[in-house]
Amino acid sequence: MELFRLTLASIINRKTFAIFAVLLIAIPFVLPYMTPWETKPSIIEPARAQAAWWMLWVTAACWLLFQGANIGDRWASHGILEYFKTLGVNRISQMGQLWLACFTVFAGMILITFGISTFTAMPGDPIEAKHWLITNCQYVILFLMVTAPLLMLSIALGTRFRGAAAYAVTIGLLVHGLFGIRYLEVFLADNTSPLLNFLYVVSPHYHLSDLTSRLVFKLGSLPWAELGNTAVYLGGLGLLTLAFSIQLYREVK
Amino acid sequence: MSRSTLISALSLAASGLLLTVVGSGALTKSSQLAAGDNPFGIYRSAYGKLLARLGETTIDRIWHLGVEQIVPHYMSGESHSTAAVPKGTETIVAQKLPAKPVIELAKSWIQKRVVSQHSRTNPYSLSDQHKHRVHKDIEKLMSRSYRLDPTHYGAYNSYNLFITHHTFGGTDESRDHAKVLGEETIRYIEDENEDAEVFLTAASASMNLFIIETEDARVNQTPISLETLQKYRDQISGFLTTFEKLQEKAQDSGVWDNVSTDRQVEIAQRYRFSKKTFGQFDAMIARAENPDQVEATAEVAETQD
Repeated sequence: MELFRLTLASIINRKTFAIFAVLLIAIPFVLPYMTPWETKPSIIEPARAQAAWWMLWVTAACWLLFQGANIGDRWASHGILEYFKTLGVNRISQMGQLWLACFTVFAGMILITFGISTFTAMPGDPIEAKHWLITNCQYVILFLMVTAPLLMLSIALGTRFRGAAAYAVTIGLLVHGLFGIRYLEVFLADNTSPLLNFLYVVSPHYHLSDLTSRLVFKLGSLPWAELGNTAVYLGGLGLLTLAFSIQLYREVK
Repeated sequence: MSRSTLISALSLAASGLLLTVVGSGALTKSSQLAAGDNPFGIYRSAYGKLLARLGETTIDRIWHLGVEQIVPHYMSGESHSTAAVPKGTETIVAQKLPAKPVIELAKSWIQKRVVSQHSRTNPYSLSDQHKHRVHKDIEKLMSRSYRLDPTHYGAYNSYNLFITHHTFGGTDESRDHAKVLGEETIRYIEDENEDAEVFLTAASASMNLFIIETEDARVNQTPISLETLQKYRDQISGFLTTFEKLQEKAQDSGVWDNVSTDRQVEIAQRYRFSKKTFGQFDAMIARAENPDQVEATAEVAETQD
């Protein structure tokens, strides 16, 4: 686990995570008071949960994926990965250690969001509170199923290309999966083009992991069968992303 | 790459592909794959309300620059009724005014630059096609504001006005759309039990629905049925009563104190306006109930003339 310790020490030493950690805590408590809450104070709690999850997505897009791409690029360029290869640390172990180092810090951020969303915005009614807790747990699971494989991809791309290019590809995939598909649906509403339909089907439907609406409008937890379908789909996408990442990963640049 | 790594990657890819196909099949069956139209729950949320209000400034800017073709009032600081200082008297007026602090002079200097940045120097007006484009842009922005917060008085009413008014490109189809819009607005608001302000939007939507429903009768000068009048009177009365109750509750609990004075005045003005328009219903119902008496009164008035 030498590579893990080295990477983790490097991330902590750079301290950029601290900026996002502060924002993750501050924004959910500040942003709801910028809304017109005065005539309806009960919108503050759902708005807090909403802001907490938005911030986590922003942190995943701006910090996590960038860290992965940057570390992959830096370690491969500086010969660190090649050095560990000569010590007998194989490709999959290297990838696992780099991923774990980034995710160790990010796990703390997920806990912050989960804590704020669950405990500072929980409804008073016991049944609603139970649904709220379950929805937050489901959201964490689905969120991990999207961000964890993308982090692996950003690391692998970073070892092969420049960090900026690796970051651009992974954030592009995330944005397309979260927002781009919605635009594609608008085009498909009055268009039968097989190419667009094919693009729609093979696009990563990351938007399925977005349970923010369920929290904001107190829709209750996702039925377990539906969660299972989504988890199977996102899990499959994750495995595919992992397989591509293993192929793309290079110890030497 | 070693043989074992390659085999791992290939088996991961195969199982990933299998799971993705199985998962997407199940999701397609249960219609879950569609992305929907509310990413991260923004529409109709607290931030939707905020963005709908912020959108008003954009709409205001495009309206004044594109339709009225003047510098927006919030930039120039001048209202429609501001009387211009007669030419040649600016210096005299300026001398009579008390000296401004430096910070105010600096702000005024910046404001003048913003005004000149947006002042029209082209002697020609926008072409009709261009104006039509501007109208459509404004309509799109208003539609977005409405989707962000369907309960917002300004967002609903301005969008309704835009799609029903011929000057702004309103058609018979868009008037049908306005009917759906009014009904949807009322549906969103009906279950509200905290925010008093939204019931003024509901009252306004009900009034708009009444206007749409009785449009033909007013154009053809045929009487409006008593049932229609009573239906809308009861509905609007219900909304205004709920507004009063919720406002009283907010005042008692101290929530009303959170609302700024400007907004309190704005809400009070809207309430007075709604009350005044609602007040006409009793007279209309009285006329509908006793048409003979009304005719007789009219005849007497004509004779006296």
